[in-house]
Amino acid sequence: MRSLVPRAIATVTGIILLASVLITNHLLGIVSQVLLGWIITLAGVAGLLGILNLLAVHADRVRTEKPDWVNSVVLLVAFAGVFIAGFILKPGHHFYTSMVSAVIVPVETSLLALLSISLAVAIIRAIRPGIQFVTILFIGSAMLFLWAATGFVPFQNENQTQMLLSFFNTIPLGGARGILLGVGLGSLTAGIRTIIRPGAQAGE
Amino acid sequence: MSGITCTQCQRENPEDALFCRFCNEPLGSQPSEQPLPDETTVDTAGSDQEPIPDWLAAIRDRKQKESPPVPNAEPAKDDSTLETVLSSLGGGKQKNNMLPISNEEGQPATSDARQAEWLSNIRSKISDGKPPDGEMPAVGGEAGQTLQQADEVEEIGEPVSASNINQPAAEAEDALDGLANTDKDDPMLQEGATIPECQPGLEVTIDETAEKIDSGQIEPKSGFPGKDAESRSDSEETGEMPVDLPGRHLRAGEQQSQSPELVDALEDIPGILPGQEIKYHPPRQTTAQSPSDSTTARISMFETTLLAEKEEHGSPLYKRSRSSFIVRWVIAALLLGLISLVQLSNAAPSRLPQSIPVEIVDFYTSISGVRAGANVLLILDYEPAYAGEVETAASAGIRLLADKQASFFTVSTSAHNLFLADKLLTAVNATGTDLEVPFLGTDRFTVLGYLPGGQSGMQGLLRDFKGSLPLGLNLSRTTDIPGLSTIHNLNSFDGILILTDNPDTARTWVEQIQPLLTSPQLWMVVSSQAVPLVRPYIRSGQIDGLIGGMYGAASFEQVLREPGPATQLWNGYYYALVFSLFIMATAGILNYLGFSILKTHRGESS
Repeated sequence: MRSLVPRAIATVTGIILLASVLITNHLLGIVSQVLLGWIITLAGVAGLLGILNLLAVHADRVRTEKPDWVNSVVLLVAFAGVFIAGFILKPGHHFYTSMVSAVIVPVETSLLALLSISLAVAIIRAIRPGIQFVTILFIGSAMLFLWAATGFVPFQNENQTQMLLSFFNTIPLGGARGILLGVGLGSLTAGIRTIIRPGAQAGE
Repeated sequence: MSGITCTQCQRENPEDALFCRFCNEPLGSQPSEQPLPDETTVDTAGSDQEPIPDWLAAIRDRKQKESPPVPNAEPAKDDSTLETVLSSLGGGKQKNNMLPISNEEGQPATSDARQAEWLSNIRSKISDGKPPDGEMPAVGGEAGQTLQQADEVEEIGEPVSASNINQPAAEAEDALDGLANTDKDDPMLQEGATIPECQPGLEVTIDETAEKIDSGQIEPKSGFPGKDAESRSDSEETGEMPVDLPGRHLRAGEQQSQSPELVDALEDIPGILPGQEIKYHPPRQTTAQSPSDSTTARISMFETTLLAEKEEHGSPLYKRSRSSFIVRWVIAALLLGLISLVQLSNAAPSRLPQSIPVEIVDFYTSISGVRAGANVLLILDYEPAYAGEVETAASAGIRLLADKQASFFTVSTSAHNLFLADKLLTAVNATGTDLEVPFLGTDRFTVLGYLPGGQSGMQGLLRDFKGSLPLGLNLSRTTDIPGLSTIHNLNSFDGILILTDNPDTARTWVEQIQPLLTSPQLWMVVSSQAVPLVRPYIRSGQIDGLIGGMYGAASFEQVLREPGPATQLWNGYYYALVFSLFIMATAGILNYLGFSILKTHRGESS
């Protein structure tokens, strides 16, 4: 009985939203609009809860002096500083946005650069005795399209080269279409399943 | 608890105790110090032996049952037995371990005569099948008197005090079991046999008796302290019963008889005598069925595992090999050095792409057809890590729209929009076109902020743009923004430019808004990794234009015939890509050869 009410609410809401997409109806549109407003509000609250939980976790790490608790102190201080600055300067202030972007962008860009180095080393280590055919195929295709991205294709103005390049472009196109169709069908079935059996979805 | 200290063994006894419960010594102002009238001691005159209690004598007589009983036979002189009994009972040396006894005349009787009299009396009564006459006190001494002792004792004195009894019944029983020569044919041992000491009509009240003794009301005729003389019949034979006699336990199978003779007189007074609550039943040991073979095998396996793992071992941590560490640093250093060298040389871009993708041409064609002063919605849904690539790829297109005096409105489904918008303008300005001045702080560039709700928010923009974004940046109402006065929904815009690095985000935007778009153009600027998944949409006509990565940006700038940031960065991008391919191929081959040689060497050494 405890799970029956949430299940019923989820089912009815899903049906209304799905019907509002498929059926053009004024009343249905109004109801779906209201429901979407509630959903967006709940999503925002969930985001706030996530932030509070993060702060609580790091505060606990500092209080109990767990390993590397100094990093948690840095996080808490940085969060407090940005939070207070946002309240004082307002988010749209040019200095505030410049201050934030000056820290976030270099950090994330550096991490992505490290990832590229790691991927290159992974390909190098994968080329070893006992390598499997699938691995060879994967490494070969990656290096082929990396080379294609350089634009350095000899005789690319020739018709035969153009046909070959078109063929190579068709392979990822076909794969991408297949992935997109699969994702679409999977999302459809998952959504219908959620509507029909919300309890099972919640239990899983 | 305050009590009386025994002068003999110096142990603590309860206050109302008359005799020491350890050594049986009369205590303090007790009969032993102030001998009761008619109290007699064992007359040991004429005997070199230490006076022994009747009960011990009875035990010895039992041993002699095998031989024809000699009424006047002297008790066997067995010092070792006496010492064993006394030590097992914990009484130690008992100088006066006997209750004062006397015969009917009140004269002290000899031990031999005592033994003969009461024993013969008991046996005669037993043979008659009649319960002993008179009132017999209840079990004297310990409540759990063994059956062997019971049939030998005619009279059992009342315990002087319940607290005197402090003898572990089991210990005493064990001791007596070693001494008693149980005769299983003894009629007294038969089930249902009457116990002489349990006489019908006997009333025993320990406390009352003790009080009477203390007050001097009772003058035991036979010398038994604590025994009501009036309750004793003339035919009763007095005897001695030490107070520390072990308790009696019901044997296995023996049931508590309801006959008065077998009922303990003190039964109604629980806890008075130790061992009285003879209700203890040892737990029945339930033996489980013998385990099956598979269970036994599992058990043995488990035991073997436990024995094998005696020491705690930590879980192995992944350790990066030293060679991998060196390779990473080498590759990173080479790439950084190469790119820096190329960029600092400021050389003209070379080897620009010669093949222009179709989507680049469509993008140029679509943007070129936008009217002057168009309202363009910029959707900034890329991560800060990809800002360099995406902003470089989008700057040519934004600059083209800016040349058409378009008004830009930025929205993002992530929280990064706040500072990415300004950074985008800064990056566009870096191309040399002074865009920052006429755009920042004017109505032509409005940052609307964060769009909540994900896909639901995207659909909300289609229905009511300002309703989905009621508040802009700095908590200003979107209805008060002049530039949005003509904007009602997404169809009110002239163009929608989506900047993203994630193919799923691109797909979501296309799937949510494109079916209901009527007039605005839909363009996309994506990272190189998202191009394969976004290209089908351009092929199907759902997107009007697509710029993908540095290659697409460089191609677009070639179409514009205006060098832009992509062209400036092309040399570094190109040579870094070529060098990466060379490093991966060369190092991979070397890695392969190295492992082959190592494998061969190990095979030879083994």
